[in-house]
Amino acid sequence: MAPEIICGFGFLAVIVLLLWRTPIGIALGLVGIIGLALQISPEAAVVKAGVVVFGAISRYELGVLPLFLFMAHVLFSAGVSSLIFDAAAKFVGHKRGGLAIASVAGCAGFGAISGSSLATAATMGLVAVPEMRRAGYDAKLAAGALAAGGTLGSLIPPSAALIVFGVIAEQSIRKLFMAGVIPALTQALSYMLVIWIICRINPALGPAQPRASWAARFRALIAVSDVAILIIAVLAGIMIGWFTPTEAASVGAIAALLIAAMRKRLSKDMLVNALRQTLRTTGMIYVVIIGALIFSAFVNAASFAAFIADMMAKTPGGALGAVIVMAIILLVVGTFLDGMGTMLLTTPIFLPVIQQHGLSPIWFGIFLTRTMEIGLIHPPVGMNLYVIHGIARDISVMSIFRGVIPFLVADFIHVALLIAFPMIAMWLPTVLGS
Amino acid sequence: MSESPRGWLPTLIIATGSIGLAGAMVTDGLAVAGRHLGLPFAGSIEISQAFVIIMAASAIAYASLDDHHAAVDLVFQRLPKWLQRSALRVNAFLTLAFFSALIAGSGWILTEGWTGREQTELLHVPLRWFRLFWIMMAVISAGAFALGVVRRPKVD
Repeated sequence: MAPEIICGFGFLAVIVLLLWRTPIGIALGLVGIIGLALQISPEAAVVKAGVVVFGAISRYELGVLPLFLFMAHVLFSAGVSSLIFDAAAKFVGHKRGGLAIASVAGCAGFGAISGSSLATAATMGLVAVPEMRRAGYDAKLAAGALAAGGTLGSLIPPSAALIVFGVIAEQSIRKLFMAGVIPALTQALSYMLVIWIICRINPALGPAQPRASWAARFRALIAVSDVAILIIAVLAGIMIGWFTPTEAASVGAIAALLIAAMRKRLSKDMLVNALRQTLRTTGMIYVVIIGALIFSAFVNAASFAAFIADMMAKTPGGALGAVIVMAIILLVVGTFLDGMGTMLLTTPIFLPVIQQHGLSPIWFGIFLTRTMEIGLIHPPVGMNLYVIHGIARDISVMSIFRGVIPFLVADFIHVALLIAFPMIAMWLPTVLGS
Repeated sequence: MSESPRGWLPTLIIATGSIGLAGAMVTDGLAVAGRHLGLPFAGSIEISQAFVIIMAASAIAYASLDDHHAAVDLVFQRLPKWLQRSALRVNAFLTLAFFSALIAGSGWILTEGWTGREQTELLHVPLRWFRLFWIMMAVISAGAFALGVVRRPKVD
């Protein structure tokens, strides 16, 4: 059987297994091993799996992931999520839609700590949705802003998705973090613009709140200043080159422990819980990465990526045409797979195409993450919609979806701009690259 | 959130994973401080890497004991209960098969290289013990899913 056909069946098998609720890493890894066994030999496939798994768990760069997760869990236990929202609300809450704007800002701030969309939507949703509803905000606007704002966690550095992409695509995590900054900030701004426009058209959807005094604003700012300094120091340290991303994560985790201790929130129970949560999530992500790396070895052995690259080289419109086709495929795949699954399944195929067209793999990482974020807020998967529904049970998933539609429009425009102007992502790594 | 696994084995795995995490964190922290104070910490990456192996292997075992592996629920949620139970059992079997393949491959490499003195470049940290540790954690993971094959799966 031709390698391309084996590979085609492999993809089909992965999709069937995923829909059967086989864990993502297991589906990818098992199909990868069977595919390698068919193409080379069963012994070679098993040995390759053994090589890949130890290569992954002994990879120093991947240590960044659990360390950032630990930092996030410690800060979360220290109660920073409500403080971030509170600080933003004090500054913009008196404007129409100000609390929704504050929730997006809170998502950006918490996303920089958590590195995960679902965690950001869940954590900020718990804080901001009840607050907005108490203030008389339209339920659809409140839920939509949180569901969309939550997606910022995937892109704003330090992002788990970018770390995983960096590992499977063998790209610099530091450059990916730098490239993610401006797209994440412009994404947050686009959501704020959407809220502003909505409330301009219908002010009743997001009524203005009493203006906080400057003293109250200052106190709210002081309350989050240690966390803000930590986040800025970690990100700036990586960008300037004070430390590698892994070192930055270690320094960040140590500083998070100090912050928790200073806030008198550090206890044995809190520490054990943070360690347990960190190990759970770390183990889950490692299995997904190991599966993806084995699957990638299978795809490479079949030269399937080259086959697809040759096919896509014939796409009308050259590089732009290929990227648009990829965006459409990613959006379609994102309707039934979650973000990580979409990324791991498509990267081994699309990355060689991107490189063949002379486009930057760093830009591709941002484009891929940005596009897969959209899958988090559109049905049927739309995980963030369900997260917000879980927080506010009386708001139906359909209402949340209707609330998220204006943000989806902003997302499509933002992705189009990212394709049209790659410098949105590449400017910072170009300036600070060396 | 599912209830966390209890007993001596999960506790032991949390302990080893925490040692790995704390070790990597402290080693990197010292390396950064040393570099900026003019006292370079030679071989810090190799030490940190060793701790990362302990942490990652433990984390995989803990996630497996907790049955906390990322999966897509889209179709599953719409299946009848009996089919959901079948899916969970089949998936436990597939996961067991995957971990068995990883154990076989890792074991093969370990036995082939046991006398080969595989070690890190600078500090000569022997890697075979870390390979062995990983295999132990993979066996625990496989064991967790072997139980999943024989036990009646819980469906909410």
